[in-house]
Amino acid sequence: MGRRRSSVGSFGLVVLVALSPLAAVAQDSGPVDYQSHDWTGLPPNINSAYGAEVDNLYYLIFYVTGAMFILTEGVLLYFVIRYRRREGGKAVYSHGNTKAEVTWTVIPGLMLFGLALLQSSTWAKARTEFPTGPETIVIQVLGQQYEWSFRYPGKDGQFGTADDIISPSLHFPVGRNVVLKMSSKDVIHSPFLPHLRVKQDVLPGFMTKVWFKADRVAVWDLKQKKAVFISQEALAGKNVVVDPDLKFYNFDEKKVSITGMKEYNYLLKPSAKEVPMMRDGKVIGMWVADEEEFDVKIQGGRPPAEADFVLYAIDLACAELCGISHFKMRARVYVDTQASWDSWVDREQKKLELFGQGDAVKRWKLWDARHPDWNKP
Amino acid sequence: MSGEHPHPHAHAEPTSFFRKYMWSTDHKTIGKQFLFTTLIFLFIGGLLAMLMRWNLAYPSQPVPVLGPIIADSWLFGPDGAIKPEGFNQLTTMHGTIMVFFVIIPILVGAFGNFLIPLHIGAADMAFPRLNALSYWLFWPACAVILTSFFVSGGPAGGGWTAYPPLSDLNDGAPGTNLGMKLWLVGVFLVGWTSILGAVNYLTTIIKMRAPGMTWGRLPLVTWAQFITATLQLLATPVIAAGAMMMLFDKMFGASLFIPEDISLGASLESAGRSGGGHPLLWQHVFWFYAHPAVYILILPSMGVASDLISTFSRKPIFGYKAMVLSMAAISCLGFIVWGHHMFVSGMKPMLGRTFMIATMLIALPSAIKVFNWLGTLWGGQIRFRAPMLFAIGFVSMFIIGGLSGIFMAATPVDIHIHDTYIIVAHFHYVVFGGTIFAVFGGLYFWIPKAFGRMMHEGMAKVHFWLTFIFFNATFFPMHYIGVVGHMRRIATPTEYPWLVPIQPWNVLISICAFILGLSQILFIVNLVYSLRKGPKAAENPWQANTLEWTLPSPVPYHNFERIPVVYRGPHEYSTEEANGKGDWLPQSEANGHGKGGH
Repeated sequence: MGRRRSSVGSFGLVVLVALSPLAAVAQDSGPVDYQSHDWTGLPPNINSAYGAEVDNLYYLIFYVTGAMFILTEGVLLYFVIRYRRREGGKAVYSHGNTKAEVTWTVIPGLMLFGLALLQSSTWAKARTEFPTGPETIVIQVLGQQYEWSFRYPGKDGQFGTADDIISPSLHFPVGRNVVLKMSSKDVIHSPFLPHLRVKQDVLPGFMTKVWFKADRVAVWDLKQKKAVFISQEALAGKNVVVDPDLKFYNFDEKKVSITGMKEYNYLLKPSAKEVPMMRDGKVIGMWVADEEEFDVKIQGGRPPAEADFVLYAIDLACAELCGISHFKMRARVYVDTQASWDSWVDREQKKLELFGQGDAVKRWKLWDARHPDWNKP
Repeated sequence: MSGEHPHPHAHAEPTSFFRKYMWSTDHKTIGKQFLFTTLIFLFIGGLLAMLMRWNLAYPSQPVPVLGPIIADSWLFGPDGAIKPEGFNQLTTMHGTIMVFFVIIPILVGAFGNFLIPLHIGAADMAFPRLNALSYWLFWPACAVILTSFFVSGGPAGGGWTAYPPLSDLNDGAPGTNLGMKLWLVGVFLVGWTSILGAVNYLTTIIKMRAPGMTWGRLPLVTWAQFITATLQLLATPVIAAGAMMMLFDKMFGASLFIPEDISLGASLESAGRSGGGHPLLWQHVFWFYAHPAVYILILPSMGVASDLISTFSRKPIFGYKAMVLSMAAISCLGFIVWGHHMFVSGMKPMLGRTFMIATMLIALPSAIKVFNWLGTLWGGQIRFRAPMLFAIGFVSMFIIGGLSGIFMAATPVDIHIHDTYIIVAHFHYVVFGGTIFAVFGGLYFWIPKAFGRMMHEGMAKVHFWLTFIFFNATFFPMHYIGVVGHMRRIATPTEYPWLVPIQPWNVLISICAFILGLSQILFIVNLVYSLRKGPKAAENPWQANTLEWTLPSPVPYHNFERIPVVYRGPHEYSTEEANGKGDWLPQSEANGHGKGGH
């Protein structure tokens, strides 16, 4: 009797395994709270390249193992209650049942093998089917104790040249394929982008690659006072402050004129007070804040009336133990709108012309000297 | 002794304190030595866990009591709060101690030593002196590991997996110099303990089984020890070699795991290193040992649970052959799944796929075992004595640990959950919920035989329920926070905005962990009390069938007066053959009559 019940249960699971890839979870394009997660714990997913497939496989395993959990623990609980010792009772003398044993070997075996096969295409997509072509953005990533460096090819499209943009934070535009070519200067690190379902160790002396494509940008909603993932379309007609990172630049005080910003002069210094604000891809003015207030605002303090959103930095964490400050080895990651990406690239190039690459280029010397092949497309 | 003693290995029972309790070649004494040593390490390892949990719940806040006493050390800052590097060292040493100095030696050293000769009807191990040597190599290993807590820079801090280059570079982080070197020596020595033990167990089980003790009549505990010993014999030399290789790196300037183009503050040249190694080589070497080691950690407890469930259900084990074959299958497949620890390591994705399929398949023998345990309970007359509670606890927790493993086996899902708390939850469900539960079950079951005193049943049951409830309250939420994206081995989760909302879970987990830790005092109290004042144990208090229960409690020096003859398997409960004289039929009972236990 117990045997039949477990075969029926197993059959249901096989059906579930067979059907579940069809039931893809629809991607919600509305704003999603950055700090939220579903009831199983899974955080929002903005990787439209293979993120949904990863999540579907996760849910599939969740439901299959959940069913097995309820089935086996239920039977266990039932048996220990039903077959507790009774006065004068006698246990069944049995050494087993070949039919039952074959059943509960073959069915779970097929299920497990099936589960393994179902993973293959997503794994291949995430790890071997790298996009190419002009629409793909290649970014080089270098980890070291305890910071990250990101390098972009600059105007000439070549890595290892004087116009490379080198940044301590990761920028990439929404809706474009992004390939990260990564290595480490010292020990093993592991860039982890939970909301993009990306994790890949970086090894000194060797190059590893990942890719993804974001379908939403991360912004601080000044009215809701929280960080959200939101589609680029939903930002149409909204005022977006695009360079919240400015205060982290470490330059000498100099007046800089940047085209595309209406000849607006502002100070590029550690405590930059004025940050460009954009609407529909155009700079419409500067958002003024001093450094302390700026922090407050990012955390949800007093917003200037005219701004709706501030571009928000999500985290790139390190998932591999890498030394003393491993626990805070993070980088700021900006998922840009196309316009804020263009503006950022533009400003970085202006900065390059004015100040050069500075000390940041030194850490890339070993990479360029020993692995010129990593710089090839 | 007379020359007609029935066993060729028999010698006079030693009378001096030194030969009796220190340099003893008696397998029972060596088993007890392993038991007490590992219990001390269990306490140390648990204490390290409590310190970690404090920091995770209350980051950067001074640790009560301990913090102010040893402030300004490798572990604590001047204010008595745990330093981030100290946290790394805590995680490293907690894992190291629990795996190498608690679980493996208690299962193999304590249970294996005590039970194998008794279960097969032998007077001692095949090589008693080798057996003693195995324990006396354990001592220097323990001494070396404990010393590392007191050296400059503190103990190793590169994770229990000791991934190079971090662990390989002497200036990689605090604890990667002297602490790490001692770690390697300690692991090397403890590896030899395993290897020597394995040679001995295999020889003993193959050559010294009593007449009639066929392979099909071995208790499953002993089968598990046999299979575990093969794993140890084949896998442990690999880690021993790996530890030597890294020691060569660290002490003699070799660069087996250090690539050429690496630039840490000090250049390779100034560190006297040439480079040219591969950082993933260690991971392959380490996991080639450490994955089979995961099964070394669980197989003996599966054996314990199997025999306990059969005994207390008063039923033969369901599918004896399947139980043995599934353990054998686990040990074979166990050698080709190590790569599942390395899906995101930079190993070729194609290899990842291969390892995934092997890993999914290794879940099958575990599933078979679970179904067979359920089959054993079915139709039983279950006696809920303390050992049985722990055995049932083992099965229910092992189910969870096994099922969560499927998430990690799935390569795409593993991308997200690798190195997060769901991994921590998974292996604690297997190693604590599984192994430690089986260990407690086994201790409550066999301590009467080993020491001649019964444990206090009521206290043992309270111990079970507290452990069961707070184990789950501690580790179940870790699945959830892991999926959220809570990384392992980070000292301060509140650094990351997306982890801030789940910080209350960390507080809850820590509080439950503290209660879980405190609950274990009940076991210590019970042990100390029972060994002194517990009621004298009868020969066969559990009405069990295996050979040790035909002997007086405690077992005399030479075990068996006469080497027994074995007539049947170990699980003949509720058989007609017993002729109504009780529901059990000892393995060595010739006439098919139940032998009175009292």
